[in-house]
Amino acid sequence: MKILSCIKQVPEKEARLRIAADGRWIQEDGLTFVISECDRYGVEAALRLKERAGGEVVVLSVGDERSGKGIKEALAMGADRAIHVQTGACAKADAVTIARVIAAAVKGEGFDVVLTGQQSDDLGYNAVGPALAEHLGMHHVQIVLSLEPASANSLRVVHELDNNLLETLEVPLPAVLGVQSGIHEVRYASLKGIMGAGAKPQRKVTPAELGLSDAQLAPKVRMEQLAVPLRSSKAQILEGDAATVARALVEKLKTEAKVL
Amino acid sequence: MARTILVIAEHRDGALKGISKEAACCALDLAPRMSATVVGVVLGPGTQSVAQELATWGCAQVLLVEDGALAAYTPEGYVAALHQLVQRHTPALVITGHSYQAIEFFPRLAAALDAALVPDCTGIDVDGVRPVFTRKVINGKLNARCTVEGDGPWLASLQQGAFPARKPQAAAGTVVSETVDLARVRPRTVVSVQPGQKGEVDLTKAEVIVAGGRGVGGKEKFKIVFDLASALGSSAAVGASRPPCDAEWVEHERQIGSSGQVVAPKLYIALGISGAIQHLVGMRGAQCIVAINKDANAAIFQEATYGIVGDVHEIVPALIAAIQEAKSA
Repeated sequence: MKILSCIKQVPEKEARLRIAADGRWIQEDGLTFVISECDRYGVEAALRLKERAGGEVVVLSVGDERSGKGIKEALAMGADRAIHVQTGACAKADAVTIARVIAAAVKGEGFDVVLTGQQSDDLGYNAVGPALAEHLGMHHVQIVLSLEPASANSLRVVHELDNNLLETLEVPLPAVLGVQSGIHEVRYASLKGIMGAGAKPQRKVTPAELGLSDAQLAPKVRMEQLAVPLRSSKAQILEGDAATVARALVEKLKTEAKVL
Repeated sequence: MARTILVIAEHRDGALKGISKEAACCALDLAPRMSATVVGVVLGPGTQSVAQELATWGCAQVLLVEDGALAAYTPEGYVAALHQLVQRHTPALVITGHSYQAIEFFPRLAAALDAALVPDCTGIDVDGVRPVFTRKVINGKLNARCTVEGDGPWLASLQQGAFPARKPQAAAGTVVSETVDLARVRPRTVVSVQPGQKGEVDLTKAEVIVAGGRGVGGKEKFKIVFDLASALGSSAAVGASRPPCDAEWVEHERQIGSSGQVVAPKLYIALGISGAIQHLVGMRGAQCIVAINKDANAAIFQEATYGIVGDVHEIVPALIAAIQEAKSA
């Protein structure tokens, strides 16, 4: 089975965020970037699928040097080779545009299974996977909680529906699956994996080399202004040392909110 | 020619979904400011009554496609039908609720149309006659105002609960049958559909819930969540956001949120929970929300009645002491 795992680098969850001077994005200097959480589960799911069904795992990322770090980590975890679409331009692109870039990069590869994280920790679209499936003419399932080979050309997939229901589907291949966090315990790279990652094949291409025009890469959605959300007017932030805020909270819960 | 805002509705068991009523109300609110009329869409055989209900939610017209290929929901069926309807009716704006189904079919539709997609919006303004969208980024910590290029159609999905549904006074619109070509649509092979929760823990009736998140920091450390619940008394239960359940610090059945239990206690204390929307939709109904998190920018503080910025493992022991002090006073 030929498996693609798409990953993205995002600021780590605990990062202290400041809005950039132009207001359009955050200041990235000094932030640590990591593989987005659901994408990391996607890499793990890809490796486990290969362990069951054989084949190869290819990891793909679109971005600048930072993406190279994520690719190296996925290769160290066990991916066989990588595709790095090198561009700084797509970091904040809309889902349809980013999906077009990925589709162009994997054209002719003939992947059976494409795994994406369900959503990224930064832009949180929930949308690149299905847009990619449309570009590639593949089936697609969102919020996937488990997957296993069902036959030579299908997967058995459990995914979430609303109303807290789980649906099991037999999905014909090729297919794009949006992997939810928690699907498997994610492995750490072994020392051997880390040592060997640098020697694994990496294809590095630019969007222009993929035949994408500037018009095709132009964002359809632009972030104009970032802002810290206003807290709801009722919110009271209690300040002071631990004992002081604890006493103040208990008092407020008893006398003001009357819930204790 | 009048501009159109197309509202794609969803239904279950013959009833219009609440999230689709929210989308219709949002469209009705935008319509005069965008010089547009609102047109609804209902897909599926036997959904005449759903279409008629949607027509009472501010749609001047509701397009109804009763093709048998749409009997069971498939993203491919929705995309094929909607693609044809959008090309036929050339709306400026297409909106739908950011639902479990929409996150499958809506991005595919956007790709098929090569259209701008703004997912999971929490607000829409109008600048001139163009919509300007607000959505959350970086795990809900920041709001981003987004503009869209070109002349449309622009696609936007709306976060559940962000646009209140209030039944409009307007007269009901008309329902118009439409036909589309769905010859290539194949049903999904559904093996089974089962409830996700199989546990013994029912949090829906708890009066007090103490819930822990990633910020609690580990399986052993999660004991502090139970300690605080014990201090609060026998009516207090323990819940969790998704990350502690994923990491198996605590049983999955304690998960609160869109893929867990939806709770509405008198008091909800969130410990080290950042406030992902999937969690918020499960606990917003709480009467009083206390958030304790060391990240002052965490989205949970936007929901809280009371907030404390600090380390759970410093604040909670003091809180337990204060509760015991208050009890013995």
